Amino acid sequence: MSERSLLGWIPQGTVDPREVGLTREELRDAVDLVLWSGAILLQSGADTALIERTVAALAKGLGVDAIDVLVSPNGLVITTTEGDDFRTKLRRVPELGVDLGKMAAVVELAPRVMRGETSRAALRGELAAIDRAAHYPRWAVAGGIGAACAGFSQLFHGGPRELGCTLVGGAVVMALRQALHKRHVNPYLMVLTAALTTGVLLTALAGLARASVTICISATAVQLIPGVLFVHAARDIIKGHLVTAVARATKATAIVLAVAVGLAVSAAVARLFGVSP
Amino acid sequence: MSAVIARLYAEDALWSGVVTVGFSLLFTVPRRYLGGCVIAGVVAHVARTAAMQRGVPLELATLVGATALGVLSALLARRHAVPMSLFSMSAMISLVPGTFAYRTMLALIALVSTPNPPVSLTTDVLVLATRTGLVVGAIAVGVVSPSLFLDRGPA
Repeated sequence: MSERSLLGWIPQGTVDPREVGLTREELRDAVDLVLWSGAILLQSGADTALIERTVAALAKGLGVDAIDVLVSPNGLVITTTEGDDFRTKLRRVPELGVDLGKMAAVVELAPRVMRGETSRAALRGELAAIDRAAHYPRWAVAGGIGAACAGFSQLFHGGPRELGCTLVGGAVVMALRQALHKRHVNPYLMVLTAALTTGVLLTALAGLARASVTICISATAVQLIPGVLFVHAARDIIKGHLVTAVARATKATAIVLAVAVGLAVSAAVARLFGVSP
Repeated sequence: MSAVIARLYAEDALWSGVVTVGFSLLFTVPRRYLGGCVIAGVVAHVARTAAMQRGVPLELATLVGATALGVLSALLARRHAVPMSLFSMSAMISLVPGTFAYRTMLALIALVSTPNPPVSLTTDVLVLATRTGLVVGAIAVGVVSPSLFLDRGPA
């Protein structure tokens, strides 16, 4: 990737790496910092182009002459060059999720580092703060997703009964996902369990409230669809990052299959009790 | 614009806004960007509904809505110098064809669990699956393609 495409969005008046000149220890520190930034981005669900661009910008801001970045589905490899010296380092990223707050925070650091406003020590402190930044409270997320599912029920032409069922069901399923995530349950097993719960719970709630089972289940199950993975896979394909694109698309497809299996089993259970979804 | 159509758009805007806020919390969008997400989500869904009101098929209407979302997200991202995903990810969720996908799955279950299934059931599965796939594809293409032309920021 050319320097222009990597650094085209960086403001004027930034650091010229050739004027900085790093010792081996400083170069090692800089590599560690840019790799950490890239790992936070990958872990937060950033697409490959954004990771490459931000890591390259940070490296330039820290005074590294040249950098090559390889983003894989499970980690990053960075090679930096400083004069005749070069250094390669790999960082594994075991768990990928979506955290747009962390993603934005790392990206917002880059222009400041490029302008020389943030030292390596300050950058280390800021990355540590970003890494342990708190999410929204769990109750707020569960309530928000419950409201979102209720919103979906109305977009799917449901009425007040469907709204009530999906508001409660959506929040309960989200709370279940949070509890399973906290216990580090396998992501596919987590989705399968959430889909099964969605089917059984919403069939029961819809039966009690005499609401449409199809609207209630489909509005609640939308929260399980891996939309971010699909879109980032499409973006990676368009921008030529085929390895990460295939990995993201495969993971998204496996999640969709887990959702389908969970809902199919719940539909079979519902039929045993004489309820036809 | 008749009162019925105006009410349809108002309800559409309200509920797509609620969906966008809910998923913004899940994706940990910072508070200062929530407004931009809601605007993008509402514009995308209302654009799709408006296109469908003019007789455009769901798949093409979704492409219209997703493209509007992609353009708006790219402009917001450029203005705030943040990734485009910050605005587009939670905003696109309201376009997901949940009912179509669920009906596809139910039809597929009926197909595999029915001895000698009728041709109409096979046709149902094919049509539903194709339409669901086309809508999902339209979302991905619509959201991503504007960034190819407007991407001057860290999107």
